[in-house]
Amino acid sequence: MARQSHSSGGKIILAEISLARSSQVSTTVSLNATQDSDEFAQESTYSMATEPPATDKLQVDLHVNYIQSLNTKKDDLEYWLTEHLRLQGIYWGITALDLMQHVDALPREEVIKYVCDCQHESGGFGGHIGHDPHIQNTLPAIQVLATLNALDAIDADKVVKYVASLQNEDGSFQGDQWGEVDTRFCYIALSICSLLKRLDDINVAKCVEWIVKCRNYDGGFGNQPGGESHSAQIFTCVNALAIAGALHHVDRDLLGWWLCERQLKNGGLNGRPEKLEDVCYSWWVLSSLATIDRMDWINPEKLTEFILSAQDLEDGGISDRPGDMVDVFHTHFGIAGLALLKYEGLRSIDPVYCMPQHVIDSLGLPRLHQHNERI
Amino acid sequence: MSSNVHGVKKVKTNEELAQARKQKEAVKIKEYNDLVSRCKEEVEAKHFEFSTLRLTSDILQLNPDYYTIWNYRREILLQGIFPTMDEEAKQQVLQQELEFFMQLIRINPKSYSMWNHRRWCLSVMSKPDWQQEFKLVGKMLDLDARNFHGWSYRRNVVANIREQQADTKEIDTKEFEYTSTKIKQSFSNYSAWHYRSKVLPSILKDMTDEERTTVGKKELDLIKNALYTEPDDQSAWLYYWWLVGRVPSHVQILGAYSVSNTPSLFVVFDDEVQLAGDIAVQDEQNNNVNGSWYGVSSTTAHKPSSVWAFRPNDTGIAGKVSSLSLSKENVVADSPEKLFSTINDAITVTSLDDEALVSVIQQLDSSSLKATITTSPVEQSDQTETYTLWQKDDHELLLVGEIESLEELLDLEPDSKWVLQTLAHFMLQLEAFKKQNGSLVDGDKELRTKALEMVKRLSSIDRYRNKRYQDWIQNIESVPITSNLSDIKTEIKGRINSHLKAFGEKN
Repeated sequence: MARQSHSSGGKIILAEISLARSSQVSTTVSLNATQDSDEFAQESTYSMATEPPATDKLQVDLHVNYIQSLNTKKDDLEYWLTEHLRLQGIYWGITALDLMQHVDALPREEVIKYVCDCQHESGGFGGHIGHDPHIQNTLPAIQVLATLNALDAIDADKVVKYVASLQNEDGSFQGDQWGEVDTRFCYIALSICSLLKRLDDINVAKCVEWIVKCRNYDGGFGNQPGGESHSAQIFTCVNALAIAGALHHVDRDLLGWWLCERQLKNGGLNGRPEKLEDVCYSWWVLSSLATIDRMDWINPEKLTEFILSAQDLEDGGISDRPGDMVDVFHTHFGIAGLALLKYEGLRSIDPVYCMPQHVIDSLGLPRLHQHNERI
Repeated sequence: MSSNVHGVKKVKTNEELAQARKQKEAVKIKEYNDLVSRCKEEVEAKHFEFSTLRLTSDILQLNPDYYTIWNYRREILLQGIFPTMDEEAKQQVLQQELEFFMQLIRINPKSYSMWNHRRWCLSVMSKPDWQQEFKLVGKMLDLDARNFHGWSYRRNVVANIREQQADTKEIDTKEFEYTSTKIKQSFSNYSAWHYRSKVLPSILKDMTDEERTTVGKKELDLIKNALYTEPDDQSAWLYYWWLVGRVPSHVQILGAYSVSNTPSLFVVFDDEVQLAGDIAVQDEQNNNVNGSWYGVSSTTAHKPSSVWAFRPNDTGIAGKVSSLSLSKENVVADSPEKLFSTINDAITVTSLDDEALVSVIQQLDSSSLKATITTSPVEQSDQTETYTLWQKDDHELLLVGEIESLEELLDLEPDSKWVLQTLAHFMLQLEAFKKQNGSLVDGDKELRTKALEMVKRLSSIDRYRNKRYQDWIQNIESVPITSNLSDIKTEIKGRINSHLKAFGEKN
């Protein structure tokens, strides 16, 4: 990988990175609820749409260019409509770039300044400069700064105080002052405090207790007590428990079974039974399996093929499934999935934090997952 | 529109079309950005009035995911509009908010911000109409029977209705029947099966054993109906596993052991566990001995282990450690379905003599124990001794009956992976149950062999998940560790060797 970095080119104004077709659903959940799965119909689309030979390789150059080009989409209404996701978009972009060994394709100092500018007096971060603080935007801020080795750019005390202020008496966390409660926010809170080495500032035991209430008969977890199991929620709960040192609450064989049944004939993974496959589940499902040491329960070659087949071979980027419009959310999760599958040329990724392993290691944090053991 | 990144096909375009599109977009972008900046200005100037509220409506119609604008909307209502109103007028405004939601849901049924706003409106209403919400959510789930937000909202509405009622039986029964309807409409409605699993316990709660058995049998009928109709659909199968229940597996301590001339003490369990909290270790004079615990596992510190080593801080006192006490709080089984047998008395340390063991322990003591840490106290899982929630007795009879009927289904569907694995699972359950009951000492070889054959077949039928079946086979074939001393020695040696190997490779 002795290629020149892409960063030397045109100056990129960070605040302008667009998510062009990005997701509404934050770091964690992409809920794909309307279509009923039609595996076979999908399969035929898939095989027809993915004949070009280049699909069997990860097109690193194209994807780096695609992520860099996101700041040039100001002519698209979409650019403006997704402004509230910009900080998260930077996390998706930076992480994907780092995994592809091109983290300097985005200008470091400008990224850091932009992230800092999204912080509020309360300690929380908004989705963009001038947007209200929300825990969902606070994690990507910390993740980006950690990846750029710039955590000293912010006042960690303030951030931790903000996070702690969102914990409810029952141990759960709300997303902001308006009160939405979701297992996503538990993961986010634990991940932030763990990255900042301040887990003692929140009530971890209570949080674990609440997460366990969200466990279901299939071994999975929902968004709240009583909620149906969903791969993205499982990602948040299993990895929150990993951070809390409480993985014994997970019935690994039962959950591993449910998770590995997410793989469909075309190799892709879905988020719930009887749903369509989607590249982002390559991350939610696979990382959960990795954390509970069951990653080899799916077929890695087939999944790799599926992710690669969703690449846009003209303009770069990865979409939810072959032939669809790409976006930085799916680009990141596709590459993250491939990194977990040890795709050649990609840096390794930590399944618990969804960050490059070298970043987690250099922070001095232990590897909480049970991945890498049997493969 | 804006927020849905899923399933949007990429369309080929040419320069001309792109230009035309850009021009159109430019107008829209200007309009949108003007709206946003006007709205921000008004909010910053604290003009919390209806005119500002209308600006937020205009923006949200274009972009229902813009959470900051939703926050503005609530600020406007709370700070500018409500304070001037009586309860009735306030209720009317909130009613309009609910109608606004109905407009937006047509644009995007999956926006978190929108659903949060509806919840908030009802929470600030003095007289929220939960029956109206109940009807509404029913309609929504008619349109999309798997909508995650819809089901989540339904739970929320039902929780509020339950709170208002002294007797919750009616609403619980209604909900239970609702899931029956949904399941009968489509056996593959996993959401409905899931919801049913949450309602069933409250239905059974106040029943006699006899009534429970009747309900349980009806559940089995419903499941069979689903399985015969859609044998390849996993929804009913998972519910089936849960309904039949599981024989809890017990984890036991086999003993504590010291080995001459080595400082470490070993505690061995018949399964993987985590140790947690303070454990009292004492010498012959009943003085506490200080030291640290280490899981001897082949991997990370956080992995549970069947062998735990205790190293006294003063390694000179080798051989003097004579007993330790472990309470339930100190031992955590590695999975929520496993039970740990309680220990009350102090455990006496047994001395093991074995030259080969001495040499591996010396390697362990000198090299890699530092690589592991003790775990801090952890929350225990809720543990229950019951097999199923609806049937107290006759668990054996239940399993035998289910095995028989699955064998019939297997004749019709000889290659169904769901039939095969359920059958294998039930057979192994039956064996485990008989063993725990004391009616079998060494296990049922016939059941075990049959189950094993099925899992082996599964690994060739269901290739993607081959490794899962391989692990399952290994589990079936693995011989449990016993408190027999030679077994213990083998276990300690094996653990240490794999630990040394794993950490040796890493270093």
